[in-house]
Amino acid sequence: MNINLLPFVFALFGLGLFCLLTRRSLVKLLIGLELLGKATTLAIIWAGVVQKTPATTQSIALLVISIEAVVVAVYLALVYAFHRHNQSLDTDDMRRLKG
Amino acid sequence: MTAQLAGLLLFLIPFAGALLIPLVNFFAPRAVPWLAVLFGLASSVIAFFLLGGTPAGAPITLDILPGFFRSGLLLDPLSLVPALIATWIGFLVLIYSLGYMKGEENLARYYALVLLFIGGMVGMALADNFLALFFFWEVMGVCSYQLIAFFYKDPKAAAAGAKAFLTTKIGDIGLLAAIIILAVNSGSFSFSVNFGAAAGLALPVLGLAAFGFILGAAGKSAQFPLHVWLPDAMEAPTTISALIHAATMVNAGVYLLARVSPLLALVPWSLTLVQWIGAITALLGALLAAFSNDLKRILAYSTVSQLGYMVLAVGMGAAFASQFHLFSHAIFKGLLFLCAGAVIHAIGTRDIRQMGGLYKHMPAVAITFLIGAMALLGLPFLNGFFSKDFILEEIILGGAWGPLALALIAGALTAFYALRTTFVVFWGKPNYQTHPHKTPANMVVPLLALALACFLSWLLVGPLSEAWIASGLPAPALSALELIRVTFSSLAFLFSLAAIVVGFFLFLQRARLARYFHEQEPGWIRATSRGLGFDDLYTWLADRIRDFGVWVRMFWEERVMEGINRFAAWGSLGLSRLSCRLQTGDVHWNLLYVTLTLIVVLGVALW
Amino acid sequence: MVSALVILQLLPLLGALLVWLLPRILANSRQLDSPRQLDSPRQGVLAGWLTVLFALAQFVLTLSLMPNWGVAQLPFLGVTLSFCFDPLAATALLVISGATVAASLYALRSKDAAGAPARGSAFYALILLVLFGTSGVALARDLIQFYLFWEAMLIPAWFLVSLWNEDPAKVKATGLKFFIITHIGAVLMLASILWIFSLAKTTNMDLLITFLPSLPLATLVPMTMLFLMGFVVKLAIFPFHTWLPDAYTSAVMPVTLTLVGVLTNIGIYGFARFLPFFPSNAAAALSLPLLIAAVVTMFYGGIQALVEKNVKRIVAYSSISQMGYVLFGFATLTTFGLSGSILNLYNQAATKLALFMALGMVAEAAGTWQIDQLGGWAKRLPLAAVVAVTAMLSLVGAPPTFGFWPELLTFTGGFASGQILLSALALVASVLSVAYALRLIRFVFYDPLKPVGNMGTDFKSVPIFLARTPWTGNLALVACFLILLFFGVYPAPVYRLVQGALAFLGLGG
Repeated sequence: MNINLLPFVFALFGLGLFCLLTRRSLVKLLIGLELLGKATTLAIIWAGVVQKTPATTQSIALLVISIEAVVVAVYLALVYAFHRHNQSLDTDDMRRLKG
Repeated sequence: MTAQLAGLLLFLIPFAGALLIPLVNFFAPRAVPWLAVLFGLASSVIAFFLLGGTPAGAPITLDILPGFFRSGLLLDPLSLVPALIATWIGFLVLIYSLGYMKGEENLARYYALVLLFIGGMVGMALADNFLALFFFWEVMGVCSYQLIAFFYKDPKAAAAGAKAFLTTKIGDIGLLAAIIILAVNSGSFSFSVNFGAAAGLALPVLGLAAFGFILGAAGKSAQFPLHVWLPDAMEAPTTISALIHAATMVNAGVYLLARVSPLLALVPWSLTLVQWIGAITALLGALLAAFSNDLKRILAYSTVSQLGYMVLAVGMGAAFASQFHLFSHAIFKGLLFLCAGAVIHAIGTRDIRQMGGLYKHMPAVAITFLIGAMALLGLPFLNGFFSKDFILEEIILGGAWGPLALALIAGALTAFYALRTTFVVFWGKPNYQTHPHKTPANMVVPLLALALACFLSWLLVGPLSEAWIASGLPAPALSALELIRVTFSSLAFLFSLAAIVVGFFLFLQRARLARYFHEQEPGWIRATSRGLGFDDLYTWLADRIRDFGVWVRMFWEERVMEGINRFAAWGSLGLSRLSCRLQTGDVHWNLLYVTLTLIVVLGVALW
Repeated sequence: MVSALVILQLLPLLGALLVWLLPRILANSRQLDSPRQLDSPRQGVLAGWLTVLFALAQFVLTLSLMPNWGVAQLPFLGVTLSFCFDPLAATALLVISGATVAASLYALRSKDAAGAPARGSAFYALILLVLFGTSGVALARDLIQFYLFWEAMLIPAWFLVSLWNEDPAKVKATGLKFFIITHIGAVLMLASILWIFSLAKTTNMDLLITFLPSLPLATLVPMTMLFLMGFVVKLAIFPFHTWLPDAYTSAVMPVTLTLVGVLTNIGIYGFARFLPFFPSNAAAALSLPLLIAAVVTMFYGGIQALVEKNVKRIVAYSSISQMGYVLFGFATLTTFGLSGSILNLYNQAATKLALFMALGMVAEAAGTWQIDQLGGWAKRLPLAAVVAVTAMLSLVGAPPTFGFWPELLTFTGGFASGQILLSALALVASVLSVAYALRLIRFVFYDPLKPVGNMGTDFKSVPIFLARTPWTGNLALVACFLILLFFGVYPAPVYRLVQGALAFLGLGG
């Protein structure tokens, strides 16, 4: 099999980053985050293919996916709390960390 | 009682008194003066045990710094003279104080300090090592400072005390340095060990030590150029001036120089230096005394001048002559001060222009003062005559013509001011307003005792010189008769007679002199009345140091040192402000930092 | 032995807890003052006496343990604490516990300036905590343990300086300055300790003494310098002195007494302990720079004290100048100089405490620290005057006071080390000391009595024993006075102890 998935992984990762840095809506940020996560999972699986240890990497990938699910749950809970508090999903309204 | 024990008691008794008096003062303040006299009496009785014929006894020593410094007593004629003077004159001064200090405040402090001083002087003289000598030397300095500033409410007295302590301290650091240099070399502070080891020292080091000793002596004995403190010290009660600043403490420098003369002899230039310091001081003191109008200052400058003679004698290598004069001087100058005290006590001023004709009111004081003054100018058959001539003889023998010339001019001036002072105070036209007080008997008795001693003390030259020779110190073998023969047949006699005659002539012409000085007012006269500018110079120097201090305080400490602190604080605050601006709180900026960090870390890892 | 040393170490901590809690337990809640007050003065008396008691107990315990020198190891929570009780540690313990007694005796009855917070149980607990930290420093035989206690003493000291302050406007600045500058020293010391640990894999001093000489000189010199920096800063050697005048001046008098009697002296102790600890070739390389720093400090402190107008600052600067002498003695690296400086532990504590207490009484009565508003106080407070003059004489090293002997030994060390010029300069600096000391005494105690506040000058002189100052303060004052005079006349007892200390440091003379 001569396919190299790495460029695709990087493209996906870059897309996620771009999304994270440019979008303002918290939900869109979640999508960017997910893109990053997916790129990472893909990279792990591809590493298993290259290293010929698919069983190990598949289990790791499963673990990553489950952790991601938890992260998404927590993230959404936070976003929901934020929305209830500020009636907004715009990141410009979250500046409480300003020094 | 052995001599060693007597020597120990001689200074322990006054010390015990000094300790006891503050305690006694708690419940019986009236007993304090009498108690002090009692302690003085006890030690002056014990002093007789030291005179000869007493067995020496086992040495008494004390470990002060175990393994490094052990102190003991040294009883030789050189050390006994200052010790006995301190004890006996101290006792007389204590009796005199009963009347003179009556009704003053803080008498406990006064008597405790006087006793402490007497003990200090005796301890200084009897120490068998440099360190104990220095210890008691400083104890004396402390007492002197405290007693000069005794009337502390008077700013002049407070300032004079501080000045005396500071000026003598300059000498003291020289002395301490010299002592330490010798001790580091020999590993001991004892006189005998150090004199033995000194020959092995390199000349520059030995020279440094010699210079230190000379400096120390100059400070304590008010020698040029550190003489400035003594005239100001006259703010002290007159009893103190008599005891400390005429009869005892100021002799300590001469004693020290005599003690270290074997060392000075090893350094060629040091004796010449001592000669010139002595000669200049003798002349300077006499000149300043001649132009002073304050009775106590006249006597103070006179003391400076006489100490100059003694130092000059030590510089000639004639320690015996210097000690002989020291002995005479202590008696007649103590007498003069006590007389002056009686006068000041009677009319309440120190300015001789406001005195005059006091013979009528206090004949005993007048006669005894006259005797003291005659001894001072060196009238034959008084003690000052023999001892001063002895010194002049030694100078002629040593061929030091420069110092001799200065000493003779000083002699003429001495005759002049002695006559002038006596005449103006006791026989001149009365100028005072108040009615003079009577002189109490307990003030007259010490005067008579001392006046008698002026006639007789030179007879002791025989036993003194025998004792010197017996303990291996360099001294000529002289009996009293021998002394008369030698004195009258010497060139020095003619010289000193000539000096007295010149002084007498000046005295007779004093009206014309006064008119001349009054009309012409030559510059040097004005300078002389201001102490020849030494005080001004030192004040100027002190002011410059203070100015420098103000600059250091105000500029360096406040601006530079605090500036560094402030800069550090300001810098860290600024940095913190700067880093605060990174904290925008914007999610995107945070994400950007994360990304950038990721890139940098990856870059570093891959590279 | 172990238990005795542990008791010696823990006694102040125990005392601090007791002082902190007992008044609170005894007082019922209604009696507590308003919460806005920092500390309740009502609890002060009991707390103060407990403090005196505990410090005195430590003092007596040290005395009774004295001939039983030795090292004790104590496994504790997986690490081994090691304590060392030798003449030097005993010296330090005697001085710091004695100074704490004096400071708390003085604190019991003295009144601070109007703006300063009240002193209650918290205050005295902190004083005992400082004593706890310094005792740990004195007893530690392990570098990390030493460092921990060093920090443990700085923190309560910082609380004291920054909270009990006469000058509310400067509270933050003074406390921070004190903490930051002394902490810089401590951190440099920590760097050196970690460096040593990285090379030797141990911080036990008994093991290190054999290990350190094997290191190359190029490592040892900076290592020693870093270590000693902690003490240099603590002694306030120029140019690290700027914390001292501010801390001394703005803190209330009892805190100043603690700083003077306890903290500064533990700096001297540190030098005495660690200068011989490092190999002599490293110390020799540092001798000249330290000597020069010492001489500069003498002159710098002296000249500041000569022109300063605030009495407390004058004494603070004189303290800086005196620490120059202490450093000078150490830096000569001779047994004379070292014994002089160790002797100075006793002398500086007694002298400075006496001087500060006497002047503190004057300032408390007069309500001012400005020298040009004082004058003639010998008449009003004769006891303070006598003690101040004695302490002044000791400060300038004049017999018959204690100060003479350390000064003599210090200068002997200087000349013995061959540094003739620097030693001569140090002697000249002592003239400067005389100048500022005389000025201080003259303008505070002599001269005509000046009216201050509502007090006139028509004042009837009182006998010395009716001195109108608090008796506890007088007691401390008289104790210092007697120490100064007794050891001034006969220093042999303490000198023997100092010689013993030198022998334990491997420098027997």
